[in-house]
Amino acid sequence: MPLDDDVVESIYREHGPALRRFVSSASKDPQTAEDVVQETVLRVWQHAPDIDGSLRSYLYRTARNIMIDNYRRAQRRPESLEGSPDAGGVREKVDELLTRVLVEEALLRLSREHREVLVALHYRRLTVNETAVQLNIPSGTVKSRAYYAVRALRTILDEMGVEQ
Amino acid sequence: MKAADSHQLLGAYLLGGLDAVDQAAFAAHLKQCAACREELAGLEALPVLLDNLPVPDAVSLTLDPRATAAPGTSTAAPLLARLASRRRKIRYRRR
Repeated sequence: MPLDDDVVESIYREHGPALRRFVSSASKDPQTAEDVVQETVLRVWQHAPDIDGSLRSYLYRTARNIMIDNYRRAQRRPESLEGSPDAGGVREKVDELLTRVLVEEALLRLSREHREVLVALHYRRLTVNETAVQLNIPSGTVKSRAYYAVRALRTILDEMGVEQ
Repeated sequence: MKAADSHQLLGAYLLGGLDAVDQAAFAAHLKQCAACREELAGLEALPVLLDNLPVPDAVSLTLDPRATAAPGTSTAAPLLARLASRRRKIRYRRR
């Protein structure tokens, strides 16, 4: 049974902004982006009973498929063919963006303590001792948080259906 | 160093940032500890996956949590109109 209006509206309110950021990074036209966001939520409305796991990552994947379908359709129209990249290139770009938002989403689901340590060590390339000074915690805590952070991240990514 | 501590070095070993002493200690521990080798194998794809997110984006996640979430400025009305129209179509098809 499809969801009712209230549920659709709450999905749109809760996930719309994040979804719009993802779609906008792939589509320059705001109206097109908004159409993709709405179509994504509508498809979720239709397929709600079959969704398990993370709703957000399901929404992202659905938006990705809609964008790629739209692109294929546009390509079949002769006037839009000139100078446009091939469908494979577009899919690659959209998939790259999808991975990026899924990683961002996964990092946001970590606890703040885990996220801080992971970002310091991996992204900022700080040493354990530098991280300890920066976060004002003992270096032993940095090490144990790094350990629990990578384990938690793996679990979150598995739940989101990110394989790799 | 206690075995439990050695085991926990896995996180920083994977992400980077261990000093030479800890690096050597964990490398030695890995040789003897099958559990650590197995756990590392399950986690070692993470750094490459993390690299899909550019550094400034990742760093901004620690500055102001959820700063990236724009306030919900748009209204759901157009969406609900599309929903109503789709619902009518579905009913029509079922008749």
